Amino acid sequence: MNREELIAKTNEVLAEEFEVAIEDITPDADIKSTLELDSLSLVDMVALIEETFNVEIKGQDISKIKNFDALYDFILAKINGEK
Amino acid sequence: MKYDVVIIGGGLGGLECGYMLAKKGLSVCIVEKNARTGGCLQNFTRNGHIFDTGFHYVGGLAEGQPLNKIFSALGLLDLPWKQLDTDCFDEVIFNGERYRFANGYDNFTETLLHDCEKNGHTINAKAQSGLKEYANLLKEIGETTFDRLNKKSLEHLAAESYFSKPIYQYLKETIYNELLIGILGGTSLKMELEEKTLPLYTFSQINSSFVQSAWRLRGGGEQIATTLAAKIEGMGGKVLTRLEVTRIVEKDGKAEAVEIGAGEYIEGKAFISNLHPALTLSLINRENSSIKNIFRRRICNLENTFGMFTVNLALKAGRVPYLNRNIFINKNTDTVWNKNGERENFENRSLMVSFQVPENEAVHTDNIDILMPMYWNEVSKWEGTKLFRRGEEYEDFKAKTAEICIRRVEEYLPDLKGTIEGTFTSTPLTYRDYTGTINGSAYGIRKDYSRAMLTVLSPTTPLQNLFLTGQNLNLHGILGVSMTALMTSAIVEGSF
Repeated sequence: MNREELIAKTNEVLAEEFEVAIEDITPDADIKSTLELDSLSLVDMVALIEETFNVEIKGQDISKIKNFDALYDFILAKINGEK
Repeated sequence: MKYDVVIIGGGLGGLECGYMLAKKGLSVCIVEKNARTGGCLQNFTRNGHIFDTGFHYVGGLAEGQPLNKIFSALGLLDLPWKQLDTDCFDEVIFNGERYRFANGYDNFTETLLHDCEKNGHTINAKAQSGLKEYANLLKEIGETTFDRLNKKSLEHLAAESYFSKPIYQYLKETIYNELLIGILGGTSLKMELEEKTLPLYTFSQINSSFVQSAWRLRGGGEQIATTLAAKIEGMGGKVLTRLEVTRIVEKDGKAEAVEIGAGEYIEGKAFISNLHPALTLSLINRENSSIKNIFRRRICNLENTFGMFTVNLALKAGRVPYLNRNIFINKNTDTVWNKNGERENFENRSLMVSFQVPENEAVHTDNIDILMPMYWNEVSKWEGTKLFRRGEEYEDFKAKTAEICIRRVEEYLPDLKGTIEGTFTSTPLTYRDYTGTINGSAYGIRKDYSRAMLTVLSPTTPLQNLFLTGQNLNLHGILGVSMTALMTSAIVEGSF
């Protein structure tokens, strides 16, 4: 999966599950405010990414990720690293 | 009437929350589907002998210790507690070699090292100092038990380093000695010793409390439930039994009422579910729900720990001396920890032997319980059957398994068989049907250090006035459930 495909897939599942407009998900946007995440739904997002890309995310990893661009980088690194 | 708090499930967590919130002046209603409250604390009677379901002993009940503080606040210290021997509350046996678990952190390490030497094992200085370091960890965790309750946010809880560290790796890197690591896991039936998942916190918090002090309850664990229920009713609360919640009614992102049969409802301002979180979610309609599908999926996909096979032996009077300690029978130190998902057969699996405290300080016991871990797939072929109607093959399986357990215990309690008046057995299916645990799991959702964020659950839910409590959230066992009840109650109280 290349970066463009990964971005498209990530945005699609996040927009659908968190009921936000896909246009609002931009690389520089803050994840928590865009998806309106609280501490509970942040874990939902972790579970959704794990489920969609078959990767494992640790609590300390996710706390460092602020915007979507960083999230794409993180998932891509996970996918490539775990192949 | 609309209650301040409606609690679904009258197990320990539900009753403790009910007590704490009633004490704060809130109107409380507990709804329990069984004829009696208590969940895993229920007693049952066979041939005139009273047996425990899931309760055998507790740790940390002496003055100044964590459970003492909670049980003191709950008014449970007046029950007939019996402290186990301080120089040996658990005796761990490996192929005939005996090791004593003693109370007090220093005494604990000194006794184990003494017994290693007695059994002909030399423990080098590095391993000895590693064992002391482990005891210091237990001490620190024991002394900071309540600090963790202040971390109400799930993010903080999951980031808690004790949750996200593997205990097996810690022991390997600290103690460097397979024999000692095996012995430390030798009282394994208090939890599921999965090398690949068990967090440092689960192992250390539980072991720490027992190293502080260990206690049985004369007359059975259900007294905890009946005492709490009576106190709740004394404060004006309601404890309703034989009433099953069939639905949690959701409206505008909040729980509004619980349905207890066709057309009957109990309304509340806040709701606490003491059920397994997956069962709680199954009570909420999917249509028009503000609970996201991903929340349901992530909760329902979590794995649960093993269950228990229990042999309850009613003994002839005056035949078997009461032992004021538990006995754990293990095959080898290297079979204690589950590695690579391999399951030992019944001949090699660890057993726990618990003695019922006799009345009136008599020297003989009337009952012995033998417990052995049992996995769901070992009984799942009968999952469609109901209590007392599972068929001949199942009865035969139970009888043969009990025979193995009794024979193995007889190696250490000779002539046990000749003293048995009645043998009663239960499997994870029995636990499932009496206590409502998923797949008859003994300890609920399996905690995984590498997925702490997903396997440690918050008392809050996507419905703003629906909260969770019970063994599945943070930590199992009496102490774990009580700590979680404190946390849930504080959050619920704060929501008013």
